[in-house]
Amino acid sequence: MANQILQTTSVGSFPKPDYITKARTKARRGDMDTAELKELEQQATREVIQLQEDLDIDVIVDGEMYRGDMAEYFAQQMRGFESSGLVRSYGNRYYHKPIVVDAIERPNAITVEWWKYAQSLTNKPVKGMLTGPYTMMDWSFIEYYPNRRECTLALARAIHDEVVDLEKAGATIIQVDEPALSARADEVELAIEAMGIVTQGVSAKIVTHICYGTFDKIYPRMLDLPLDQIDLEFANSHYRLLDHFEKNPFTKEVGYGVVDIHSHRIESVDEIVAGIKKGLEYIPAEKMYVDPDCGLKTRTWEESKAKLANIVTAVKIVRAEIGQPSARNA
Amino acid sequence: MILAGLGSYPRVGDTTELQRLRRGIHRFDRKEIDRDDLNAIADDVTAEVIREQVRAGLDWVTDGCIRWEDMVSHVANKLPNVRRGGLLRYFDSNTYVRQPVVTGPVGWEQPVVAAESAFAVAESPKPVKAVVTGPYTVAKYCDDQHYGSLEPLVMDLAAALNKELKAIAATGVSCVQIDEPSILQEPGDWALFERAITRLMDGVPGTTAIATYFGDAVPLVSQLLGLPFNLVYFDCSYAPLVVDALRGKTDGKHVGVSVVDARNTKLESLEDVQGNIQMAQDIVGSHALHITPSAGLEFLPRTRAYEKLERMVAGATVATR
Ligand SMILES: [Zn+2]
Repeated sequence: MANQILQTTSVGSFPKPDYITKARTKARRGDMDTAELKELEQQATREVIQLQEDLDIDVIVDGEMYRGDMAEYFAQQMRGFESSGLVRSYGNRYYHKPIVVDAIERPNAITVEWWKYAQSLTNKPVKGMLTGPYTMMDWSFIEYYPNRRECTLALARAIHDEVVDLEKAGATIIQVDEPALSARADEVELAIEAMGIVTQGVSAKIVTHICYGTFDKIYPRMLDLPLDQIDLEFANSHYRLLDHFEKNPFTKEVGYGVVDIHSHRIESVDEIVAGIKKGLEYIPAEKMYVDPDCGLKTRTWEESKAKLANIVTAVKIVRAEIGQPSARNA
Repeated sequence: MILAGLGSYPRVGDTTELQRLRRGIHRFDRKEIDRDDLNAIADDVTAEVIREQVRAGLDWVTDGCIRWEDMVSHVANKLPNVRRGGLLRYFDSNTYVRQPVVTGPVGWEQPVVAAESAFAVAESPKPVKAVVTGPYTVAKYCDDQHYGSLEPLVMDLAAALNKELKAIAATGVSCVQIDEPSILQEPGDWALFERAITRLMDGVPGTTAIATYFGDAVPLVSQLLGLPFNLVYFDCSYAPLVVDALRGKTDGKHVGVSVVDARNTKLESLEDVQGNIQMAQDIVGSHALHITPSAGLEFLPRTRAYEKLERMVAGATVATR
């Protein structure tokens, strides 16, 4: 499978089943112990991996059943963070934002145990999943460090240690998400510097996901990120991101988002085939990983399944049409 | 010198009592209470937030934008031919707005904010400032399925919001503030922006202000000061150099300078706040100076938002002694 073109994957999160949402609330109130919660989270992880196996997806994610907010989860397991009073996320949703109150350290591996568990359930590669230093910084209040840069670099050192531990455990693909990067064009260089620390001396394939934002202001500078693959949302901008590749060719592997995760609508196979073909005008099939635009956690289980199923069908159609490249590296 | 907030204020706190609006909206969504019940809760929380600003020592207060789903869609999504869309990230704040989906020509039928302003005026012992997000920033967040280009959308929004502003001005507010953070990201759109603002402010009576934040206003200082407003607010947390850039340029215009960061919980020292107020006084002159947080305070936890206001007031008290 190593040379398969147009490998299929997912960006990270899957919708949490009701029993997980309820269990997490109970655990927060102290009405459920951590062992019981973990058992349910493992059950949900098994279901998510089984779903991806059934759909014949190539690169597997664990679905993040045991995580809440993607910054908060890591902040809770590092030293130096506290939790703020409630702040608004959107509408009537509120959350506790991390506050950096002391020097950031990562005393123990954070995700390695879960990664091992997930990998034990499948023969396909499971991605390691981390939140990047720039995003962790941007999504926290900073009281300890004198500026955003120093905070980001401290986080980068901690996350580097986590990447090294994941690699030691056997992870061959590690995703270090930087969804916040697209919001602040003036800090792209900082994110690049930090990613350099994260990936230094690492041989696993490193992927980052960047959400839709002021793409025109961070491209092509984002290509300087020292990593292998950048995963982007193409579908929700009707593939307009590709226009940027006309003038400045995309030089890395791409994670190619072909279904809009904010929409209930299930994109048709034809539509996805057309989207992939558009992308193939700019990026070779060997370098294209096809997936949804972003994490699926805001969609229902049924919507997620339907969207992923159509992605896999569409990919198989395109693979058959363009044929496999010769097994030159086999 | 006038001490004021820039608009939003945290609508919930950490106690059960301070979360009654959050609960109220949940119950309304589940149809356990009706619109009047929810409005009564929002009224109550608005009055509480006004009292909190007065207690902190502000000279001007706002209604805290307590009823706003977010800073972009509150007005826009109620205009004709605009519907409520999906979530879109709001600047670099890790918060989201409901994207306005524009399906036809944007018009205006009835006021949205005016009733809220009237309520605040009736509740407040202090002058009230009303806040409306401006046409350019709203347009930048729209999913435009009708116009096909930015300019006609911005201009129609400006015409629609002009009517909203006139309705607000008639409620007895002491100032109408337009928020236009997006122009700082796109200085190249200045010509369009200026046309839209001219249309927006046409015939709007009383004291008016424009607030920019979440970006560096230094390159646009002169242009912003040249717009038809009595008062221009600047975010000096994002761009501390903006204060110096005001030197010799204000020409009688009132200027708002921020001295506490509305985006970070770190509490500024009294010395820093006082020093920054004194510097602003030297550059702008005390009579023309307004002191604020760097943006609306809703990005902070409630207790810290209040402490930031207190710190601002304490700094001003020392600085003017
Ligand atoms: Zn994303």
